[in-house]
Amino acid sequence: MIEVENLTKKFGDKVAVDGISFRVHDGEIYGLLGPNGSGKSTTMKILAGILKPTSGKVLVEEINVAKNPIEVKKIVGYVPETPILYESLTPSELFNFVGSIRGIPKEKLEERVNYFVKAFGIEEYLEQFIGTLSFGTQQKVSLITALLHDPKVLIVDEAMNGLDPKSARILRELLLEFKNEGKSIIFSTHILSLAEIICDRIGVIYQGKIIAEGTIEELKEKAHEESLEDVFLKLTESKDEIAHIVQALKESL
Amino acid sequence: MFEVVKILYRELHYQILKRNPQIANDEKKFRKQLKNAVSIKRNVAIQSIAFIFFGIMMAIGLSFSDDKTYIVAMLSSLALIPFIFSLYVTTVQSSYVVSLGLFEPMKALPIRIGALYLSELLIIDQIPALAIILPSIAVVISKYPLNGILVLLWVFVGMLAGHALGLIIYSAFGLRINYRKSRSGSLKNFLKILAIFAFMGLFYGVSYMQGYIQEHSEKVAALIGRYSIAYPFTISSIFDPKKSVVMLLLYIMVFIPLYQLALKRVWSGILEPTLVSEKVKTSKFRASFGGKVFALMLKDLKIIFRKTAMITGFLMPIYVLLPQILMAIKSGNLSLTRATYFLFTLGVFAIPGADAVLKVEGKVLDFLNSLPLTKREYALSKALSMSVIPILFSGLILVLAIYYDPKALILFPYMFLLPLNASFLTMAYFFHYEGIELGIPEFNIGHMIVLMILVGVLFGIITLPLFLLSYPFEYFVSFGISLVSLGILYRLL
Repeated sequence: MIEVENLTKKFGDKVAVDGISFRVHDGEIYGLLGPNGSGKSTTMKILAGILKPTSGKVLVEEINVAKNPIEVKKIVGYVPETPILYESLTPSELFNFVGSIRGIPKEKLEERVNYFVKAFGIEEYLEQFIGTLSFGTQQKVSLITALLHDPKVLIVDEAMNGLDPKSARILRELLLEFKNEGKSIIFSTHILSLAEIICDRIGVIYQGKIIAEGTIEELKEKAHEESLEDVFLKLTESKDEIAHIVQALKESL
Repeated sequence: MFEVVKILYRELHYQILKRNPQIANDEKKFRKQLKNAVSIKRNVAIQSIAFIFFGIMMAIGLSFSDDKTYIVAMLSSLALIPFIFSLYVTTVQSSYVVSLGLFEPMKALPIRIGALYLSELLIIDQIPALAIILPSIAVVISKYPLNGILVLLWVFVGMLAGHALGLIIYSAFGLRINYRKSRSGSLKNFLKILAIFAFMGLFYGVSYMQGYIQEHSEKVAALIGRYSIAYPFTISSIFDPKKSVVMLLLYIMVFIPLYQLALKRVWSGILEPTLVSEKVKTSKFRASFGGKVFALMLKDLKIIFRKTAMITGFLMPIYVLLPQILMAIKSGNLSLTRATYFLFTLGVFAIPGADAVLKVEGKVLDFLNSLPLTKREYALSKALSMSVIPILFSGLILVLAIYYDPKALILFPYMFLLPLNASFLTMAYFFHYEGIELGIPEFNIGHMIVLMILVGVLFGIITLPLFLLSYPFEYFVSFGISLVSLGILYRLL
C-alpha cells in the first residue's frame, strides 16, 4: 500500500510536485498519467526513496519514505524511464552486484535471474557490456534488476519505452500477475491504450497537481469523453491546442 | 571539404570527452575542457605546446654540437616519436570513429563523403607530435639548410608510414568491435595504460636518451649504419642528399599505395560494417557475490580498469614513485628507512585515487540510490577501492625491501595501515565533515591540497615514534597509533 498526502517537491524556486495526495492499494495497478514535465517522474522517485520530499507525507507499506528511505528501498522495485546503468559492466555482473547489495540468497538470485532472462530473451547478452546493448535490451536489464528481490511495491516509470511487442506483452502479464499476488503497482505510461487495459485506477497529473482521479469509467463519465485519450487531452488542455496546430500545419503545407 | 572535417572533429572530441567520466561528471570541468577539445586550433595548439617543451630540450643539445654522427643519432631517435604517435593515434582514433558511428548521420545526407575525410580527421591529431622534432630541425636547417629540409621530409614520410601502418593494423584487427567481455579487451586496455605511462614518462625518456646518445654515440652510429635503410635510421643519409632523395622516393612509392589500400579498406568497413558471425553461446547466469561493501568495491575496480581515462589518476602513485624505486634498485640499496619513506609516500598518493572512485558512479547515481545502501557502506567501499593500488604497490616495495634487508618484514602492517588511513581520512572528509549524502562530491585541486595537508599531519603523528624510540619498539608504537586513528576514522565514515 502506498499513501501520499500533500506531497510537495521543489527544486529551488520551481515547484515540480504541488501538494498531491493519492493512495495505491494492495493488489492494485495505479496509473499516473501526465504530459512531459508534469511531475510524474519526480513523484515516482520520491516514492522509491531516491528524492526527498520538500513537504508532505509518503508511506510505503506504512514506512515513512522521508524518515526511513533504506527500509523502503528494500521492499520497492523501481524501473526508471531511461535505463541508466553501469555501461562497463555486463548484465551478469550487474545482477550479481544488485544481488549482493540486496542480500538475495545465491540460489534464489540464480533462479530469478535465469527466469527473467529467459522470459525477456536476453540470454545471449548476459556477458556483453551494457553500454553496447540496444536501448530496449538495456531497458530489459533495468527491469530485471528491479524485480530480483521480489518487491512488495513496484514503481514503473514508462518502462514500456523501447521494448519489443513480445517483451511489452510479457511485462504486461507480469504486472497483472504481481497485482494478483497482492502487490501495489504504480505505473506511468504515454501509451494510453495500455493504461486503459491494465490500470485499475488512474491519476492525471498536470503541472504538479493531480487534476483527476478514478477508474477509467469514472474519468470518461466526468469528462464526457469516449476514450481515455480524449479524457487525457481534455484534462490537460491539449485538445484545442492540437486542433489549432493541425490546422496551422495543413495551411502551411 | 574542411567544413565537414571540422564538424566530424568536433563530434569526435565531444564524444570522447563525454565518455570520460572524470570530466563528464563535473559540469564545470566539462564545459571548460569542451571549449578546447572541440576547437581544432586550440586543441592542436595546446598539445603542441606540451610537446614543444621536450622539443626545445633536445634542440638545445643539438645547437651546441657540430658532430654529424651525434646530430644524425639524435634526429633518428627523435623521428621515431612522430612515427609512433602517428601509428598510435591512427589506430586508437579509428576505433573511436567506428565505435561512435561518426559517419552514420552523414550517410543519409546528399554530400559526397569519402575516405579522405577520415584520413584528414585522423591526421589533425597527429600534428602536435611534429612539435617534438621541429625545434631540432630548425637548428639543423640553420646550420645545414638542405640537409635540414631532408630531415623534415623524412619526418613527414615517417608520419605517413605510421598513419598507413596504423590503418593496416586497424583494418586487420580493429574492425570487429568486441562487444563481449574478453581477454583481448583487457589486453587492449592494458596497452592503452602502457601508452599513457609512456607519454607520462616522456620527460624521463627524453633526458635518458639525450644522455645515452652523448655517452655512446659510437655505438649508436654503428647501429644506425647497420640498419640505414630502415626508418628512422634512414635519416643518417641526410648528409648524402642524393642517396637520401632516392630512399625518400622509394619509401613514398611503397607507403602511398599501402596507405590508399588500407584507407580504402577501413572506409569500406565504415560504410558497410562486416558482421562477423559469431556463434552466440546463450549462457546461464551463475551467482557469485559477497557482502555489500565488497560488491561495491569490486564494481568500482572493474569499471576503473575498463575505462582507460579513469585509470591514469588511479595509477598516479606508481608513476610518482617508480623512477625513485628504480633508482634505489639500480644503486643496489633499499634500506629500511628508504622503504619506510616509500610506503608513507604511497599512502599519501592514495588521495588522487579518490577522484576516480567517486566519479565511477557518474549518471548512474539514481540507480545506486534506488538500492538499500547506507552512506557509510558507500563511503567505506570508496575508501577501500582507492586503497587497492597503493596496497598492492606497497606489497611490491615490501618484497623488494625484504630482499635487500630481511628486517624490512617489520614494515608489513604499514602496507595496509597507511593507504587505509589516507583513504578513510579522505572519505571521512567528504562524507562526515562536508556532510555529503550518497553521491559524488566535488573533488578539485583545493580539496586535494587540504587532504594532502590533513594526511600529512596524520602521518606526521604516526611517524613520530620512529624519531623518538628505538628499533623495533618505534614501529610497534607507530602501528598502534595508525590502528587507533584508523578506528576513529572508520567511526567517522
